[in-house]
Amino acid sequence: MLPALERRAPLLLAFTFLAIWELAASQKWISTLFFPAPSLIARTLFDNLRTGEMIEQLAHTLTRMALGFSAGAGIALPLGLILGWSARLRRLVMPFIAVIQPLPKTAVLPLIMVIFGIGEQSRVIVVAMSAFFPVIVSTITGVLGVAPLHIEVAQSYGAARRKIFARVILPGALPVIMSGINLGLNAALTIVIVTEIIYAQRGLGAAVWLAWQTFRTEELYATLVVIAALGLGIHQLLSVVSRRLMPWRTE
Amino acid sequence: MLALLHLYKHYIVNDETIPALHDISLRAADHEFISIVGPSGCGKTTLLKIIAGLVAPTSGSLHIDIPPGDHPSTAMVFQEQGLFPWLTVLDNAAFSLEARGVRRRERTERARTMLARMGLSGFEARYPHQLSGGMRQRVSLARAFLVDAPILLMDEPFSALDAQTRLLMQGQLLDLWREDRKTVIYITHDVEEAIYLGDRVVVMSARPGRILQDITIPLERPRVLDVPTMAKITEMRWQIWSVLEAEVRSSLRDSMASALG
Repeated sequence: MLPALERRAPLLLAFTFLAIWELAASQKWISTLFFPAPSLIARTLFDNLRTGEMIEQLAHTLTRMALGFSAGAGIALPLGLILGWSARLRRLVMPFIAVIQPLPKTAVLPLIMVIFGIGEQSRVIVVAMSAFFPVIVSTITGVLGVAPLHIEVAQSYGAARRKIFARVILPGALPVIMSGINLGLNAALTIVIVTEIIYAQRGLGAAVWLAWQTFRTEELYATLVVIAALGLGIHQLLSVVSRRLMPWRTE
Repeated sequence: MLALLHLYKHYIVNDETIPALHDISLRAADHEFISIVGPSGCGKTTLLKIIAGLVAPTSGSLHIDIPPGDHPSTAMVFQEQGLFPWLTVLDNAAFSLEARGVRRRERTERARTMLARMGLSGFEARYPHQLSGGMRQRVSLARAFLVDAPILLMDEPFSALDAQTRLLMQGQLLDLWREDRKTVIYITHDVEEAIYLGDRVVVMSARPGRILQDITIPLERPRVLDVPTMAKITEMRWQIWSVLEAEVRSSLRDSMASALG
């Protein structure tokens, strides 16, 4: 009885919150300009979904994010594996990573725009950069964190370097790599929205900005709901992929 | 036959030479079970790695004379964390064959048979973290026995197990050894275990590791842990401990001194 109630408690709390908000908005206890009624936000969201408007914005954002993330992570992953494997290359490259990594990627955007122009290319490049660093750093950390004992076991049975890499290094580093990919996805989502706010005709960031400029707060909230859903969806997908890739981690 | 002649091993750390092994000469006849005891940090594991070919000695020589065939000369059984957490029991056991390039179908079949012999049928698809410590070490044994190496190197394989499980595993190891007639080099810090298992017990000193004593154990085989045997083991235990005690104290002093800087 109690556990069932406890499980539903968050949902119950959310409904209570929304109900109070709805009441407060309809009674004009709060400014509906800043806090439009949840029912209005829901209706706006529904209308925008029905007309396909919101889906189109979502598609733009998702495409940019997918392109940028796969480019960034696609370079970071193999490079990180090589750097984790070779101490000599690591000593050569790590200082550069250490210097560039803390730089907020949004600060680089103007420079990228000067070089590549105000277009999709610049946006994708900055998103790629934002995904690149968490993935490469965690990949290196993951490879370095593989238990020396496991490598020794493989060596003691005469495994070739390729075999050690595929059967020991890669799976041993995978949990840390996956957490880096998670961070990379977070960064990519943040940066893609920011670049859309800065300059874009389409996309969820652009929609947020347009809603702010035209002071349609219900539109603003509706778009935020979609962005939150996008973030949630990405993490759900990632946890499914993680379970598939690391079946030994599931209890 | 396995023979070590005047083996020395130094490590160089920050331009400082740290001696690990000092003039080790040891001979193991075919099918002999040799236990090595010594204080921690005495270079036992280094010695094992030298025999396995994982580490090169600084000087001295290693002779391994084994019958020809498609097998490595040594197989190593590691401490409890030696299994790969990401491989199933079957793949963990078969890894020793996989490393040697045996095809999947053949290695899977052979691993299944060996796991059955270890009493692990039905657990092939499990992951190591789903097994008890004793079962994990039986997978490690299966992995090592699969490659048919005539020399088995064991590095404190049962040290993390509880006392009852350890007794069972020791008995099972002796059974396997009697059937497969391997030469075993067994490292332990447990003097009673060393006596119970070994034909000989080699006592090593604190770092740098030297051989202090090489004692032949006069217990009959197959060994049963009955009252008279236990009494004999206890008696020999004190004899060996009297040699070892000073070394353990010295090793303890060393580690305390280095901890204090």
